[in-house]
Amino acid sequence: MIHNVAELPDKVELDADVCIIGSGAGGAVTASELARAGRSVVVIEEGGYFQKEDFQGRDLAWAFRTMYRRAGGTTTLGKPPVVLPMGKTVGGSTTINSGTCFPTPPRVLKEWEWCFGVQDAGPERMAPYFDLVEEILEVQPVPEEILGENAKKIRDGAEILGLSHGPLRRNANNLCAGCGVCCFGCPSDGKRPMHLNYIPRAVEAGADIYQRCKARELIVQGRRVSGVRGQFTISNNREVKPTLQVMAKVVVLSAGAVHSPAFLLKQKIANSSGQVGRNLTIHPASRVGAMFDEPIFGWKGVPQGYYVDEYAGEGIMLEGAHGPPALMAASIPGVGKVFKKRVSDSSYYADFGVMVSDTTTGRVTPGPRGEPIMWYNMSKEDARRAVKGMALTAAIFLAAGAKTTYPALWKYPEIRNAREVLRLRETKIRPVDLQLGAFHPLGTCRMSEAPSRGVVNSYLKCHDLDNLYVVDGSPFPSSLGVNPQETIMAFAHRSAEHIANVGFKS
Amino acid sequence: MAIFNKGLGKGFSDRQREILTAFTETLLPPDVGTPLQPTEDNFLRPAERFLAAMGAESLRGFVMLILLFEYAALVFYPRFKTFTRLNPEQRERYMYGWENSRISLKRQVFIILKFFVSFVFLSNREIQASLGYDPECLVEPGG
Repeated sequence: MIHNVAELPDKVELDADVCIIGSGAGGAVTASELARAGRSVVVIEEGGYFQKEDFQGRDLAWAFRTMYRRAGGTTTLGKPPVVLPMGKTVGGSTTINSGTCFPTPPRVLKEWEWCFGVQDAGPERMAPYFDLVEEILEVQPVPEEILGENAKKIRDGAEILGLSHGPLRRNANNLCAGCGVCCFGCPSDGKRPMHLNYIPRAVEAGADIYQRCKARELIVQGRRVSGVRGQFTISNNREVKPTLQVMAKVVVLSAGAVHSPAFLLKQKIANSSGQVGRNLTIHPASRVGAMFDEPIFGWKGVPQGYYVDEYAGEGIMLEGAHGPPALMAASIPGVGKVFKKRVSDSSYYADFGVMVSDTTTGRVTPGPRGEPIMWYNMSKEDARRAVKGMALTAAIFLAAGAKTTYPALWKYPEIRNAREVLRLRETKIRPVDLQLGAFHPLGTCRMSEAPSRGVVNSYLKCHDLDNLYVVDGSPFPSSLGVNPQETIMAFAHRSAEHIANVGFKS
Repeated sequence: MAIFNKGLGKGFSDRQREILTAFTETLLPPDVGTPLQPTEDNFLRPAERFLAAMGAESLRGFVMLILLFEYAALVFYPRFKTFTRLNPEQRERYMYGWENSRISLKRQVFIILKFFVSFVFLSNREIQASLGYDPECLVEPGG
């Protein structure tokens, strides 16, 4: 069952086969599969449990304040600073993501096999896991009727330019009405985050989920983790009375690629390789806005419903990105009267995202009070590809009839014709000239069969500790180039199988 | 009027409220398009609540940024006046200078302020409605 802090005694002490820290794409799947395998499972989740009724009639600021870490203001330090929002709910970031699903590209799985020595995770081996995840998540392409004008403009432009394009596949069923608020909690249950599939499966099989409980430390004895201590919190991380201690045979760390390494580094464990917190990739993303003569109402329809993958092989992926005017306004250039006029024309404004598969790697370190600090300096090569993607997006919008476009880029606040697109492509842009966001932190507890090169093995078991697994985005040794939730879930299935088969024998 | 009369991390002081209101009225002048002005109810209190949710250090950081924006006018604008003492045209030119500065740090500070102010101010339902955004879709699925 899902426990509320108000119903608990002052001290909660439990014994379980498995204790899982985090209930996002990694933790929820692991909890579900191990509970279904007959194991007693306890999940500790820092965020609260929300359902569709909680999302109805709310404003945007509520969503950010309540379901995002630091109200959505988590940012990397470096050149340039990159806003990297993360969810904090039962279900992790899946509650507030756009729902885009891609299996891991086969070339990436092969790269992990050849370059990082990852075993037993080739495309053929992983295919059944992707199929299973997609079936449980009800993954399907975005239907035409809820695509929205924003995506249709991109489709029209890509078609004219002869680029490869299509509707994105999402974990959303026919209840999805395209009301455009996926990132603030789905009010119709059309989008299918963890709290609508894997979490109920886990609870049905007997798992106990403790929400609003922050894991404080792992209890380590020699090469084994014997349990987890946690502290319950209410809003703004204010600690409240009950404390939690779970003694477990296996511990799974699924706090995400930013908090998992910070947690290990804070305790100075599992880091004989020196790789904990290193190799951070984030899929830096920029955007291009466009003003049309006819109304677009870009906030209607699925916000991330379409893609252009013409240059996916180069690590450039164009994916839909739109939202309410309050969120989009800052990406419109200008101040004063000019800016206000453009904002007043929000219904004529379209917007699309450019995501780069990054070769840059950053780092996570524990900061004051254990809160992670992310360090990331974008390379010139990644900046070059981001600019190429922005030029392409501007060209697509112009081909679709936009009167002007706004790349999120200093020096080129407006691109109005093909000549300017060409000039943009040929100009050298410094990383600090880009305005970036990112949504997919990965890689900070790298997977490798060699203990000197990685933190976990191919089944996500920690090299240094015999019963600790890290199951989230942090084991992936290189950037995926696509949205990672399906990859995390597929590897979580595989890891759960491994734990069920051999994890309790050691 | 004390700059820090509430203490950093506990909310905006009167001086900070004055700067933030001037910033918002310059970024989104009330005489163009939507006629609404930033007030205690539709902007300042929601801004404080939002920053509180980001943590006390975020509120402190944000306050430092608006003070930097206010007093940097003494250096970056040739009138030897703070931002709030400039007239509306001068304020707009000063703000334009931050958005288009050759110094990337200035641009980054400005984009943080611009994002925060436009997000909080435009999140107000009355203002959203005036822009054509229908927040009712949050109430009625498929609306």
